[in-house]
Amino acid sequence: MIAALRYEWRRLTTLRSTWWLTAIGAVVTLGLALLIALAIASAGEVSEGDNYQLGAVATQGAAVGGVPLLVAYLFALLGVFCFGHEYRHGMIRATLTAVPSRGAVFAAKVLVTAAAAFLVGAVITLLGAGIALLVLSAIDGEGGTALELALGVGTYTALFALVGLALASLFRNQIASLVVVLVMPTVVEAVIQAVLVFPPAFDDVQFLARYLPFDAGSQLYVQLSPNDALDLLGYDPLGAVGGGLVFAGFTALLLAAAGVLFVRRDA
Amino acid sequence: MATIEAQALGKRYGPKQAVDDLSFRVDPGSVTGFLGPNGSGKSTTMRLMLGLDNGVGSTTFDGMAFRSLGEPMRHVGALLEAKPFHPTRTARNHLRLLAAANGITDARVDQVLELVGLTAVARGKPKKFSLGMGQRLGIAAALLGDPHTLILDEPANGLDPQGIQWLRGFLKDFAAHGHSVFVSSHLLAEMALMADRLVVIGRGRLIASGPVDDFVKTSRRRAVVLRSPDLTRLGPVLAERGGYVEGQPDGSFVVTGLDRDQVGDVAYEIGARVHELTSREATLEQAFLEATGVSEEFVGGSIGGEPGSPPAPPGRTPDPGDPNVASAR
Repeated sequence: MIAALRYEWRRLTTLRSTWWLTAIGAVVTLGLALLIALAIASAGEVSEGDNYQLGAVATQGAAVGGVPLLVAYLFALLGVFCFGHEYRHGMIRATLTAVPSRGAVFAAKVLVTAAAAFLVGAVITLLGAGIALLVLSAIDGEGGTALELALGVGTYTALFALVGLALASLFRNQIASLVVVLVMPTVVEAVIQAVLVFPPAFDDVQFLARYLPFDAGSQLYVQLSPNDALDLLGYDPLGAVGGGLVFAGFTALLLAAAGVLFVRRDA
Repeated sequence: MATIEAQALGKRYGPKQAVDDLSFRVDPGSVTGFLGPNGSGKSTTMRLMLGLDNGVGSTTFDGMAFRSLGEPMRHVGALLEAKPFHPTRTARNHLRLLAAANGITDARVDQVLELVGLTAVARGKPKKFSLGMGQRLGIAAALLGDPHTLILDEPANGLDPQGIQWLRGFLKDFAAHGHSVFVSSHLLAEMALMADRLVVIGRGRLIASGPVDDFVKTSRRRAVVLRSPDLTRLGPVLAERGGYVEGQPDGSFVVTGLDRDQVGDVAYEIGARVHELTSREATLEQAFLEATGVSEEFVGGSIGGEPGSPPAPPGRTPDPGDPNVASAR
């Protein structure tokens, strides 16, 4: 297992795409953080210790406005590449002749990808919170909200990356996996949610919309969202823990299917 | 020791039995060539040996299955397909990646790069590599762990003549140090120069295994060429002794079933004049074509295969064992 972890870590760190995705995530997220903070400051709306302002700055608006969380999407790509590259370039056979235990290879990929995604997501969020502190002093006494946000973003990013990893392992096709992992949360879930929540005819099954995995998972870091307005229609989303568990369960199912097939199929 | 033992290997793709009850042994100290027509299951066999494909049967390396070897690259080096690397990871980093899982140092990485002549492009991206350079990188990966056994699928592919000559010399030398080499090639002339022993398969089944010379001797093309003005007397006696005499357009005769000395002795016995008496050796190619002719599946020119065999499914490329075909891209 140690050998598999060493292999996977070096695989990840010797790819240019890893560094590109991380750099884009950091630069864009923190650049937006600075812009949002400056916009709030120049509008003269600074209110010290405001958690929503902190959330808006630290997550490029994702925590308060239904905007996609950029770093999570970037690491979904990284998750897809984790298996996508193996099959696209025939690396999988080289991998399995270097580390013949398939269980170890799969587990190492899951662990390394999740750890990298969590760390990058959490650190970028903490740096964003630092910008909020510097520009707006928008941080409460103990910094609890900043830590919560970092934990939430990190966990969501890690789970999102693992969904990408599982899909690429199942499909063995980079493009198909990329399409599914990007379209599911942005289009498919939005449509299902709209269908379930708006027409009164579906009031009886409306609660199902709470279990849409990506939307539920976003509760890990969301403080305020447009969904909150759906209150009026009787829609009551899950909280951070419940939503996180739904997303984690969904991810675990995909990983289990991918892991079993990975061990059984021909390389 | 570095003995490979394959026992009753089998692999089925849908209705097609790609490898069928295949057993053979590869002993250290010699280069063992793995021959078979396209689509006969060579690549599939190699993948089965390394546990990359799931099938039946077992392969052991000094008694151990590949999957149960710790730091496997230190025992068995493998080259399975052209260009099995990421196009933008440098050659050196590709080897360092494989090394990371097998406790191999960076110094050894630089050493094998030097050995295969890639030092100058060690920090270059393999997407710019020619087929031959890619093949050298694959060979470097196989040699990385200083293994006692090499399994190479078409290693000469894309190499220039110097590269092929280097490879041949290297493998012979490697085997001479008490190591095992199991190498497939479709270049029969190359195989004749390189291999000491052969495993020949057709349609996934074993056709022959043993020293190259023994295999070549099985060829019916091995014969005696005879010129004699007294053939009317000599012919019947040769036939009596088990020879088969066939006239040639140039007036000579080809005798099979008897060797040169026997034919000469018969001529002496009956006082027949002999103007020419030479042995004609078969080549590996002739022996191979004869041995696999009956089992060749995708015979040139006939789309449906032989009578009685299921026709090749449309859209299917001839070699299901070919990794480039098996994995859809």
